[in-house]
Amino acid sequence: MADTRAAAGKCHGIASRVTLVVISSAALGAFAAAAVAIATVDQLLSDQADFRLRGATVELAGELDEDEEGDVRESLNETLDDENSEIAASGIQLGVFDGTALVAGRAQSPAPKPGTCETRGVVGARVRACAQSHRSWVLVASQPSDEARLRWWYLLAASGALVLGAATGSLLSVKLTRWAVAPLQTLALSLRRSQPQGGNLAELGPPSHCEEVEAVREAVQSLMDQIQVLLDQARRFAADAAHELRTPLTTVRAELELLAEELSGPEREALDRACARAARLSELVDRLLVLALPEDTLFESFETVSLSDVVSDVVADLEAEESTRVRFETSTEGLVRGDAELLRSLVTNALRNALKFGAPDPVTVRVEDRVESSGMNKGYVVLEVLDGGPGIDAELRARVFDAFYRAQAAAAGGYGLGLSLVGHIARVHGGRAEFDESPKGARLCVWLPAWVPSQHHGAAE
Amino acid sequence: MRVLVVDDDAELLELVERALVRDDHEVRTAESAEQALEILEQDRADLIVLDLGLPGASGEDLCRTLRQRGPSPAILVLTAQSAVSSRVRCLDSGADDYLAKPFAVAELRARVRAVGRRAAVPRPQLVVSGDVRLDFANRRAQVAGDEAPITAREWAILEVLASERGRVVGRGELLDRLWNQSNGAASASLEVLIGRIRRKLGSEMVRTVRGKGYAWNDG
Repeated sequence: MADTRAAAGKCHGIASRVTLVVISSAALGAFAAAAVAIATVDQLLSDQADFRLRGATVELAGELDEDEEGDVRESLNETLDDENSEIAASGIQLGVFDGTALVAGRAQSPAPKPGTCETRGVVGARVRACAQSHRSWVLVASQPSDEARLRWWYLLAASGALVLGAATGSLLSVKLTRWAVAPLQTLALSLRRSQPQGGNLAELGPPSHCEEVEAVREAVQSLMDQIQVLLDQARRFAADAAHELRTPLTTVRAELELLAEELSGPEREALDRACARAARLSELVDRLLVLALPEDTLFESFETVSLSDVVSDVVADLEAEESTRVRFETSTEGLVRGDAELLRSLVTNALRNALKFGAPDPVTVRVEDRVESSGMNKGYVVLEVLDGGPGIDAELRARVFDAFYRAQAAAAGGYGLGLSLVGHIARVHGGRAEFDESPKGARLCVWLPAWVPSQHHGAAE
Repeated sequence: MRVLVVDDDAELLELVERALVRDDHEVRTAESAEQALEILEQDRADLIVLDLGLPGASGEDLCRTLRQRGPSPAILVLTAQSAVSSRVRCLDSGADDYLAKPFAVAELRARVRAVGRRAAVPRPQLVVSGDVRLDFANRRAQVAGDEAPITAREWAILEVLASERGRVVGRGELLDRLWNQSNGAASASLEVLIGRIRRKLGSEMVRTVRGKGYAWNDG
């Protein structure tokens, strides 16, 4: 799933923009370079052509100087015919103008200004001509222009450069884009990692070297810090409120219990009911206090607890009609390091939840030793609670561990703290709670790290 | 039993006093650690029910002071903090048991009875037998230098047997003492628990005396 998300990001995100920028700048750069090269080549070619045309007129002038005697006009015609046929292979034609009139040879009128070259004529039959004055004449050498043919070559070269540039750009862009977007992806990764874990937001990782990304990171970090402060305040408030309630609750319960002992009959029954309600209230206060425990509390003084014993105790303490519904299967002691009271509370809440929502079907409880194969082959003790109730939709499974969250079906009552307590206590012990796929009903799995000998038992004394 | 109740909440103090008087305990009350020490100067007590959150010197300080003075009454701590660290701290400072507020009076009375009974026998601190080392104070068991996983209930059995070394403890007596010690019903049967202890610490640790009960095996 992460892969498709990354791919989607590449299509619509900054990465695609960077790709576009890289490709278009590579193409434009190549095009500009091609244009400069073409202009230079074009200039060189026309200079060379002019040089040859001028050479031809100079040569003609020499020839004309040689045969001065006789009929000038006739010899002029002869000389030019000779010259023209001599250089016919080079494509150059020579002509002599007297004033504006062509007197010998072949050339387009009018003659260019002496000493200059120019291109003239209609498209498709353009001609380059250079002129030189000689005595009273103007000698003109002309040649069909290559312009049209060259233009196609130039166009081909320019588009070739464009395509090549774009192709090189897109080849490079993969790596370039990856490099350019890397700081952002690092930030995204650390953001994803800093999922709130029961109210504790993690740090966002080290500062980024990228100015813009660092700005974003700092903004997000400060937002997270503010949220953390609010979370801590909320937690402290819950703890303080619960704490303040404890002593008055104790006196109320004591008063009721002592009074109940002195009475009998219906009054006694009423008082017993009040006692039970006060006890329930005490339980709620206890739950709030446990939930207010920060999850990173690593208890130095966890004791060795057998989870199987805890389950047996909890089942034995259930009301008779409930305990007959529980099937407990275990083949292991289920040794974990933890707090016996918190674990008892975990099992009680997990079991009560299953009994409530799975009624009237039986509830199966299993305690097993398991090794998590992924990762470091860490040993776990797994508590599995299966009920025959309506089950929990896959998308709601994570949310039911939120404090005060209740699935729709859970309108049956309760404070909605039971499962969040299960999750919280599991996490406090370095484990986790989750609902797994089950053919019928809900299947709660609580993973707790299995007991291992303490590393520091020698030093702790 | 002579019980001294120390709590700064006058209302709760009075209620606990009433409950314990009903159980035929001889009850005195104090509202601060200093006052408690004054009373103890004049009069001895078998058990102190002590609130941890006292003004002035805390209940924890009082615990420590009393333990430093040598043999002292058993101490049952009442605490408004359920945080594990504070519970463990007060057990470390010398309390015999703790009860988190809000508690049921019935529970308090049961604990008072249990702690009182246990206090009559000195608790073992450290027992070394062969390559087995049992540190009762810190609840750490080592076999040949490696930590062994002993659960609370198994510690309770070991504690009774270790404090009664040289004597066979009857099954009934053992169950009775364990029953009061653990707040739930002892689910795993005694045989299972003894079996586990033998598996974890070596089979010769606990001796079965046919028809009588169990005894600590000193070899």
